[in-house]
Amino acid sequence: LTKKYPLFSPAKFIKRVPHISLVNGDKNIAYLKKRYFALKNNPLFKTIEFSSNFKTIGKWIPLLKSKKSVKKYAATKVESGTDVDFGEITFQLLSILKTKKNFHLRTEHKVLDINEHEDGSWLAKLTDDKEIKSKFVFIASGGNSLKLLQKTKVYEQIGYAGFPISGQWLVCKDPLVVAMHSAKVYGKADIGSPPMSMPHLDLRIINGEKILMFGPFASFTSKFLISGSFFDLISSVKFHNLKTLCIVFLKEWPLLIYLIKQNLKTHKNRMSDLRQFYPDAKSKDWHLEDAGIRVQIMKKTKKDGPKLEFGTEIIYSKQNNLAALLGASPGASISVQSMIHVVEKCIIKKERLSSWKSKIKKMIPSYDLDLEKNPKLLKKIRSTNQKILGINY
Amino acid sequence: MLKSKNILLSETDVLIIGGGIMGATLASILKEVDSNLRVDIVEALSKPALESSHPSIMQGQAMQVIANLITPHFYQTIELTFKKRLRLMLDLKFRFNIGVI
Repeated sequence: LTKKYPLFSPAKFIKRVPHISLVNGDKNIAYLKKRYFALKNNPLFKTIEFSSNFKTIGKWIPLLKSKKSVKKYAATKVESGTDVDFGEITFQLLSILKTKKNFHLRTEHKVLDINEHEDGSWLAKLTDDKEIKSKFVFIASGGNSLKLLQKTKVYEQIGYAGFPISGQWLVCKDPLVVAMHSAKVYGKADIGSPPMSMPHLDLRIINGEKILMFGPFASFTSKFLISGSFFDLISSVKFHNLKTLCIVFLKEWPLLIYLIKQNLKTHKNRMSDLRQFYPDAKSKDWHLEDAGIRVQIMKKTKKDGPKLEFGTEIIYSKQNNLAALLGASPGASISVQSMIHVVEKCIIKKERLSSWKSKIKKMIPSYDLDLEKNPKLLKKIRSTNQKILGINY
Repeated sequence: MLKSKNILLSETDVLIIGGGIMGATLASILKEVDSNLRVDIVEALSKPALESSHPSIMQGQAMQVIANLITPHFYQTIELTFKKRLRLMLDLKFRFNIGVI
């Protein structure tokens, strides 16, 4: 894209920010060491480093250095980590798309209803009595996807329900503190918290501004989007998903307790969590900011009955004329992989299969290949990509 | 006969609902492999990427916090506590009912 489109500017959306895992306590250190040896042999993680020397760790995470740091630490570091601004990528991709024929981006157009025609095409009813007819529909509306999928009435959505959870971060914009931290540091939750719940202290670069974020702290909401309605959760409850919701709530009781506990946290409690990473953190430098809302999927499964699903899921209609993306994490980082799947399953016509596949292969050299088994290709792709993206080290 | 008031904005091959990273990625792939394909994106807000794809509100690992609650080890320990509590709740309810009777 960088070669083809001058509008595409990676420097605006990707920066090199090392990724670090930090633990304390003998058990956790032993676990991290074991994980390091397991990952080191995988070509994808060949550059991972391990240290249990506080001097080295202090160089990696200067904020950790304090008179109060008496615990034994261990850390791993992947120098080639990055910070990606997916909002900026979206803007850049759309600005390129807007220059193309047969492409329309219509903002401030809310979809009110979607109905299937007998010929398998779809009619989407929009605000102001407008309509769009389409052969294929892809629903990718974040938290609102479930409600739109319910409007299509396709059989495959039966039994699916959603539960929204919002998040909050402690944010620091003090340039002196921000300048001391240049990594994403992931921790491991202490005993009593969910294992590997991974609190993390991140350097984030948003619109060129460097800030530190610590969290996340989960909290309750009944909205499916920040711009959504407080009735979203209630209106998503249908006769066909009521049983799923009730059983999942009973099964996942600990999750509700965890959410309540997180909600009850005071600024003081949150600061004390942060001090695991930054012992000298001052309360006045940090304030709480809202993160986005995720809608967690609940669905009926043949094996385990109604279940809370984690991860992202694409629901396809039987005729493959509609797909909807549900779920939360992982999201943006797997966008290319999941969209290729939608293209392969729904949009490529059999007669054009080979020509489309060869075009995708040109765009994504690792397409259809397992990079773990092709270390040479991996090395080549990585060095080319790092050069193009300006993140070589 | 009543005429439909609705305005047909377009007839397209692919309609993407949501102007976030997923929709933009799908549209880009499609237009690169077949420039003749008609692709429309509709977005409810005034700009794309204002919700889930917005950098300042992306939760990152938030959901992983929740996801990890069900890792087997933790789940088992919680499950035991849950069963104990449930038994206690039922027990209290039972006593209460008896009290009422």
